[in-house]
Amino acid sequence: MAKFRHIEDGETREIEAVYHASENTLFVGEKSFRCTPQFVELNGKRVPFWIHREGGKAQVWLNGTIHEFELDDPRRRNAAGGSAGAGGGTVKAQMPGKILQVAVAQGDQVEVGQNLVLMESMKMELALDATVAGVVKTVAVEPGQMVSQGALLLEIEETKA
Amino acid sequence: MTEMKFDTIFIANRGEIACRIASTLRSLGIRSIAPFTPPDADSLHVQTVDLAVPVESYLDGEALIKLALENGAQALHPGYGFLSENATFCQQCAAAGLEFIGPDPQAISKMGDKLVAKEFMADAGLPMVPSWSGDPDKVAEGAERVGFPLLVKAAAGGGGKGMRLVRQPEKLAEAVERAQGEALKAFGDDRIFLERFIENPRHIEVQIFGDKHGNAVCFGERECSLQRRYQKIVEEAPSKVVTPELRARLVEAGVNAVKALRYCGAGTVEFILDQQGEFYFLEVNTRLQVEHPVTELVYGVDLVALQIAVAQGEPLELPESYLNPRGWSIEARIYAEDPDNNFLPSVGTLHTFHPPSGHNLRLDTGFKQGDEVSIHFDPMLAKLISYGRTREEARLNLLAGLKDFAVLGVTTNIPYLIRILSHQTFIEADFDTQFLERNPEHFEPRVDPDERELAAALAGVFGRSNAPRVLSETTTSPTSPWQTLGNWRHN
Repeated sequence: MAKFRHIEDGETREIEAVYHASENTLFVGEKSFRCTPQFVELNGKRVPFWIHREGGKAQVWLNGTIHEFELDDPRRRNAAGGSAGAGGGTVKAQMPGKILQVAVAQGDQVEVGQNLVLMESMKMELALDATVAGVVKTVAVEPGQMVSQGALLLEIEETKA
Repeated sequence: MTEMKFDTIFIANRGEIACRIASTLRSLGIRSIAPFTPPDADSLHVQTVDLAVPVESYLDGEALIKLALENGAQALHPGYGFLSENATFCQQCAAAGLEFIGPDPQAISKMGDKLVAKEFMADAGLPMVPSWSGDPDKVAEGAERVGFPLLVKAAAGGGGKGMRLVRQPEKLAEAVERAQGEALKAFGDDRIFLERFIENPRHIEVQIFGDKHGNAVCFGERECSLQRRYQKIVEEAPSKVVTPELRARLVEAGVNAVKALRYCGAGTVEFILDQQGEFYFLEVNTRLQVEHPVTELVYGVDLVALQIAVAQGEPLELPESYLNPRGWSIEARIYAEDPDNNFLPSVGTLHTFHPPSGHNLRLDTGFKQGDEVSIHFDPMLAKLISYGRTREEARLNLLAGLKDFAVLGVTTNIPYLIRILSHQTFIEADFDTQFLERNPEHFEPRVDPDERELAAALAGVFGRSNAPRVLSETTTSPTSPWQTLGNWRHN
């Protein structure tokens, strides 16, 4: 169960949510929703949803309404060395899959939120973004390559502010 | 009258209307050309036409005519806005030997001057809002002729100065005196006139057409009462309040207007309709209207194709049934504006632009995903138009379409349109031109906290980058994920 924080009327709220892909179910706190990466069931009806994320902000289109959030994703903040994603300077594969695109090269200066790698896993595209600013030290993969979970993708030498 | 056949037409426009015209040209086998300015280089209309040519400005008439002729066009379609109601441009086209798809310059300039237009149509026998001017000593007699409630207006006036609303005859003398004083101060001219005040009117218009042989036709009404700051937002055809008898009278007035003007091509006669079912002439628009699709859907016509046929010199040949609308059509205008922040225009990148698709839903747009919405042009992103056998069917169809119309990156009025279409007053079609502005509190956002919580969870789970994208279509899997779910329970 991952915790997601967002700011609501100036106050930080925390939502516990997890997506169980093989069961097509999204658990939100005590509730569960039938859900795929494109649709969620709301009041018995299949409703499409769309998300646009830029930096720490997300816009969600759901059922004719746009919800805007400032998100604070703990996996982004302290995932360095953990199993999930672009944590700190060491970027690892979150899931087994195929590398679609490497958006940076060795020696590139990167900013927080900048896309580093695009990979495909379980028929979904996953974008791994930088969580630290710095210089790309090593790029360990190339497009087309299959990687296993936890595989090192690239390393960033963090620039100390 | 010799008939011509166009093989190439120049569309002197951009955006959704250029795309809409190009679509008819394609179906008629006519080659389409359109101009584009630098910021429009990658826009949808450039990708839609057969040939796109660069220009500095969409208002540079001479350059447009030159480009049209150089590229082999025999005719020019002006669309709406830009040069569509510019009599000089229309003359320049004719002088250059380029057929202007629209009325002649005389009709454009006559109807372009709103006062001249009123006098002209009064002479043609169209109903006018009762008014009186004359000897100030006989103002009481005048008021009786005009009827109450009435407005006392300054002859030299404008901006509401010198204007008085009078509901009872005994208040008239005092109001006239005050209006005269105010008018003298403001304009140095104390002449006043009286005009009937039409309370809570509806905006009703009819689609007129004339050809080069003197034939005149008029399609039944469009209802365009839902407006904000004189901007139409939701239009429909037919109107709930127009009876077949009233429709026949509206159509007769439209036909009279075409005949009096010897009008050629497509136009619109706008009326205001009072609560007693009387209608009064407002103005004539000498072009295709933004809201023309609702007429197309209920009368089964392609108005652009008809414009081209008329411009080619063909006689208007329409079956008798054209007078009878079939079913119902409603159009919603989607604007890049923030309904929850004083309708301020919104600019940015259309990161997500996912229009709905569905049976009996039509989309007219000049935008696609990834486009920039800038302050340089009209903020209308799209028109979503529904059709149904009944008004309620068309309403539900449009409502469902709006709920599925995902736009992210730029704020739109879609949530506001959803609130309008869900409102009891809209369901009952019991509105007038002031309704939206009189009752803004009815259309304020209502956020469902449960939905918001779900949206936050979706953002957290799926929102790591852009919208989640499934790489292979779900149709390639043997069964839908919904059907494979066994013991899933509702909460």
